[in-house]
Amino acid sequence: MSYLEYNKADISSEKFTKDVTSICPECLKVIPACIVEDPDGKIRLKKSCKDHGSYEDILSQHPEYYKWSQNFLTEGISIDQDKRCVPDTPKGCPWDCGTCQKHKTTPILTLIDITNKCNLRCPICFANAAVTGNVVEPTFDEVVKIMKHLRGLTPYSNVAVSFSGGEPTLREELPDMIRKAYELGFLQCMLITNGIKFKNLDYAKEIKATGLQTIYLQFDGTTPETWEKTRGFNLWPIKQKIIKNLRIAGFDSVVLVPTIAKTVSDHEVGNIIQFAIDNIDIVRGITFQPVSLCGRIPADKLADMRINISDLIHRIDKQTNHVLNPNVWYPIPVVAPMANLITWYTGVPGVDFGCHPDCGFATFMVLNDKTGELECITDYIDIPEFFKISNKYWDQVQKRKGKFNRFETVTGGINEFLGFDVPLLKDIGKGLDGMHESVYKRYIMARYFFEILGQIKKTGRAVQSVSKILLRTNWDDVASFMYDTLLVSCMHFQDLYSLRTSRTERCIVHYAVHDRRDGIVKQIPFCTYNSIHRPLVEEAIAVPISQVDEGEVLTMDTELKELEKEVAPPIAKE
Amino acid sequence: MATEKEVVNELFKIIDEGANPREARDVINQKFPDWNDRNKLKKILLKVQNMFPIIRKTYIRKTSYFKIFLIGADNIRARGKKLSEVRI
Repeated sequence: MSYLEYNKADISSEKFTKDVTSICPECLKVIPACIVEDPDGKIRLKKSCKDHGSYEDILSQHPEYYKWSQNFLTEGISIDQDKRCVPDTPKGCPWDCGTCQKHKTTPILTLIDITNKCNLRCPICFANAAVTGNVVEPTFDEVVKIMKHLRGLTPYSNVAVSFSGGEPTLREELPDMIRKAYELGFLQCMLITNGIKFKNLDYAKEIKATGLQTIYLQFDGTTPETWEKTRGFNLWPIKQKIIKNLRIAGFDSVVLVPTIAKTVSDHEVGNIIQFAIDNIDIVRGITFQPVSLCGRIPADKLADMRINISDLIHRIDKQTNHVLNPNVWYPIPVVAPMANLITWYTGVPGVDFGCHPDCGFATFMVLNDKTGELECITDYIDIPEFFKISNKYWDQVQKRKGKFNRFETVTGGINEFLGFDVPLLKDIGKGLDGMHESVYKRYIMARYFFEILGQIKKTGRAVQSVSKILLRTNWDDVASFMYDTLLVSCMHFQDLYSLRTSRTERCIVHYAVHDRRDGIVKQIPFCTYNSIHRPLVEEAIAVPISQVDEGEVLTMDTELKELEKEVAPPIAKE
Repeated sequence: MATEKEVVNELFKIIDEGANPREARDVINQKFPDWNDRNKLKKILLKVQNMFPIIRKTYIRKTSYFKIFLIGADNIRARGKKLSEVRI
């Protein structure tokens, strides 16, 4: 059941209001802000800077949906204090990122920008070397240092790393970096790319040979007009070729990443889902990203341009004829308690989904291979009940944390009473405590599993995969679930107008950088890195193009022109 | 009537060129209408799979390529409707 039906009782009838902290988009000073539900039914973030006046931004046009989603706020797993790179927080969030002492979660995915060179000149991008005039590239050794740091995080060391840019495939050492990542123990390596280099089948095969699993492919639509608007020319035939080449090279995990801008590509969401279904053998998911707005924007223009998650979900609903309606979507933290329970039970490398509910929504589509029917995960499992049950058991486990030492305490007491250490007595105490904990774990997981079974609406491959994850709990089973389904998700990154520290401090997608200003490896939440920290960090690495390889940039421009010639003539240049 | 060998070779060629399961099934249905039969096709799939090198065999197995191929594009439905009807 969904927020419309089951959770009606959980949606407060009172007008939503919450005090938060944000920043002034002009001077970037930390300022108080408030999230309010206005009489016109929109949820807005309102803030006022002493020097630069008032700002407001729409967070949601669907207040009930917004209020309901706030029920999914969970406790994240904090990084151990001694592993945080910023020892104190004099300036406060979001200025002390690194992470600071206040950060409440552990990154589930970390991005490393390995170059800012790019072989496209997208009208919507302001970050590549050709535009900024500087080349920003960490050295191979710096990248290795970053990866070692990420693997050393506790209690959850990073298991997923993603190489990004610019265009990461332009970095010659990319294959070596991927190999090194696996050597260091990362379980999942990803590449965030426009895919142009994979036009060359040999290159696709070379990257496949490194063991790389997942490709996050820039994918804005399925019509030439959309590509012209978002990337400057018609990339659609090239993207189709790239998908074919990746398939031939043996890749089996591509995630389509459409940037959704109002009136530019928001009419394409249904087509993109259709394309993913047609290519469901290789496409594992879609991550829609409503565009983050850069620079200073007048208030009326901001309201026109802003598209947020609930808008997007309602567009998807319309464009899929209600197959993916708002009832099938859930905020990302819905799986956080289950992930925590599994990690606690098995000791497998943990992943923390404890981000803010506003960060992202997701659902899974399942292709029933017996009937040919495309279904949603909500057809199989009662998700709200699943969340409540997982939360209940995770709370129980939290309460018992650190309490499995009774026998050791008793045996220690006996030793103290006798005045001397009886050989092995302490070890026996420890052993009994271990047995006690082990029995407790099995007891909790058995009860949890049977309660979850009660929430299954019907059986099928997806349910078998979920059961395997709960029973055997290893990474292969998680992967197998992904191969049986199509993940459809929305991630809405914050910009200067929508930024709230309550979201930032729960961020689970970080950039990792080697900051040459102080020589420290830092993890910086995605949104604050792009809004605030990027220029500061990059300034220390940046080398003017004229000093490095002007020739290379010019070659890229020539390549781009050839690429443009290769595809159909421009259709909608205006 | 096309022979089994002809269909196997054609299917291998289509998949080798990077077609998705839906495209592959469409081509087979068009070229060999008498082979538009799930049970008939099922029997030749292992032969096709074995023609590929190991890396692509793994891809075919992991991605359930043939399961989707067997469903056939026109039979994939969402909420009881054909996908072409679902799309606006």
